[in-house]
Amino acid sequence: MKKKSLTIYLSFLFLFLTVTSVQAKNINIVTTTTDIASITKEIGGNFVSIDSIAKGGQDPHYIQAKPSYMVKLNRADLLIYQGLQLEIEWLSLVIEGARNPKVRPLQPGHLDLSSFIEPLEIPIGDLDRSMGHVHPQGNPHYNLSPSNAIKMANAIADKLSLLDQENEITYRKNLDQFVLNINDRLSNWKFRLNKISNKKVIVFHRTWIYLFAEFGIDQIGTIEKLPGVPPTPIHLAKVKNLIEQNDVRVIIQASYYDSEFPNLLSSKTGVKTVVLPAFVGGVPEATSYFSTMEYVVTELENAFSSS
Amino acid sequence: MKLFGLLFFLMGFFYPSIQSHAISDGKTHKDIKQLEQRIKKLESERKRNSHSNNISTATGLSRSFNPAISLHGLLLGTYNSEGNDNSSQSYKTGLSVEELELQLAGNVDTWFRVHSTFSMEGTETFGLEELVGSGLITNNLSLQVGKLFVPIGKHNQLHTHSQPFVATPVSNEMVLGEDGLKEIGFGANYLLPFPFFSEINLQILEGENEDLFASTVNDGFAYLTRSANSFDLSDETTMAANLAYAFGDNSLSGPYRTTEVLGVDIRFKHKPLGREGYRTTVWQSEFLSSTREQIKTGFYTYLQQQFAKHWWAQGRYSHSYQQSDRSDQNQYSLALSYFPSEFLETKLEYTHLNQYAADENQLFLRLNFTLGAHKGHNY
Repeated sequence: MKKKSLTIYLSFLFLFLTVTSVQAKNINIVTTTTDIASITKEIGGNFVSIDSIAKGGQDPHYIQAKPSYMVKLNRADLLIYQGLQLEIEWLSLVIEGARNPKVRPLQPGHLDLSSFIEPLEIPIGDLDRSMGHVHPQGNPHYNLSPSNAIKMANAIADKLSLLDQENEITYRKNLDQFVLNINDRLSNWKFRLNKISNKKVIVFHRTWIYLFAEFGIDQIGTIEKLPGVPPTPIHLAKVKNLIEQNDVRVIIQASYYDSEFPNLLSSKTGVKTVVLPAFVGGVPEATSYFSTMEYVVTELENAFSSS
Repeated sequence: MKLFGLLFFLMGFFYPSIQSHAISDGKTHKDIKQLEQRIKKLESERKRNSHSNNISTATGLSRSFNPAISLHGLLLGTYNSEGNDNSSQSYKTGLSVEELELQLAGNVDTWFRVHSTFSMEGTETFGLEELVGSGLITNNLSLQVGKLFVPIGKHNQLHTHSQPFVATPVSNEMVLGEDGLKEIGFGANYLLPFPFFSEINLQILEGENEDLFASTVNDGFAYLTRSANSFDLSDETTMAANLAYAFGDNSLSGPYRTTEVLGVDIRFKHKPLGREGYRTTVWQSEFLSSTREQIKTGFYTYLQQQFAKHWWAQGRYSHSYQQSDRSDQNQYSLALSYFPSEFLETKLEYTHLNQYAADENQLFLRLNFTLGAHKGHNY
């Protein structure tokens, strides 16, 4: 009986040690967005544990700094965020409340992915709040360009290799595979969207500028009067004119925005409104970076073709 | 060599005509012109910025390391049914600059960060409201020093611009005094290694508050301990429960020489995920009690609902009780707020104050604005 108990005890001990040793090897990562989490998972594989603060259906501009986010970041080895002031409202509070020296700015566990891409729409001249919710360092929605996803993946692979040199080969191998997969799909996505001649769109918010640059989509105007500022009736009338004068066929909005104004314009002009995920998890079908981009391209293709 | 020179000459001569033939589409030509103009503008902007930055080396005047500066303005219109012949009335009928708050925040160096608030109540008195230096000592442990908003209850930690109602809860006025509990001191915050947020605060305070402490001896400090806890009940609902206890010498002698203060607050916040995320609901309650010769107690409870993207409706009940004269106050408030953006708010509030003296009916219309770089508020 005693021998049996000892065996069970030793088995549990072995299991515990195995589990803890596996856990100990994992790099504990907190990301601000689900796109970063998805790309990091592709690169880190089983060697990383990832938690994204923003959920895919949330607007990451307006997350609130919940204490539970501070606890997550307190236990993290690495913080990866989008930058360009996307998370300006809340990230500094979370970092401060986390009291984790490893993830503070300039530390090895702190990674701002915006340093690795070429920002678009950097405003010129002096800025003030009358211009709406402007981002002085450029538009932060660069995750929607597959080419930028490759740059993000490169930066993540470099960082993981630095923090966990033992598994560098795996990270590099995963990176190569990720780049291969993206490039394969990118050719296909471009082929499908290039077939469409009229790709003029109106957007609700300037979320899609990197996506449009990648696929040659022509943004004619925005429903928001200024970034983050809802439209006035006069502005809506101007957008309606823009739609009619430019033969615009599609209005695009992110899934976390209210459809009130896009639907109003749709009803007045007959233009189709397409609701797209701006991040992984933005719609149920968008479960990874690849499926999100596939969903976006398919929806655009269908919208342009049917209009 | 001569041949190359000739080719260059011919290219220069023919280039404009080649260009004009190649670009037959007038729109494309116009686009290129616009792009060229934009590039020129960018280049001149870059030169101008680089020039102005370089000058700072000689003048010693650089704006690169300035702290983040913000100014909060609170402009108030008040109607009060009582006390209009009394100039010291708390909320008297008229128009006023309720408060201006000037905030400066930034990193002093790699280790130390400072956040300061200067406030001007009305248009004349300007003073230091808050000055907090903080630093991270090691994992989970941070220190704070300066003039602090003492963390007893939730309301006492809020700057005027972030308080949900214009009228201060009578419970806070009764227990902590009209200006609340702000003390010079230092303290430590430790984040406990629990699966939920749990923090312990310990503070040593000068104890200057005349309603509570104000010891006659120089070493009569006040001491605070606080446990702050927060739990996510779901991705959309969070509950916070905090308990604070402070004690310190006061100006009395004998059995009353020590004041004790207790604060308990609880808060539920529901914020839906997704496009309905603005439909936030907050329920918050707070109980305060102090002993300084006599027991004073009070509580408030309020409910806030963001019913549209830029609109909040809210109601609060607050009660206070003072043992000596067995007098109590009941305060009822209703408010409607409109936020065109996170930097501007207009609030209309009605408060009914039921008390031993004549009941008061107060009506407030407040404009609350934020100018400059101001970071978000804690959850």
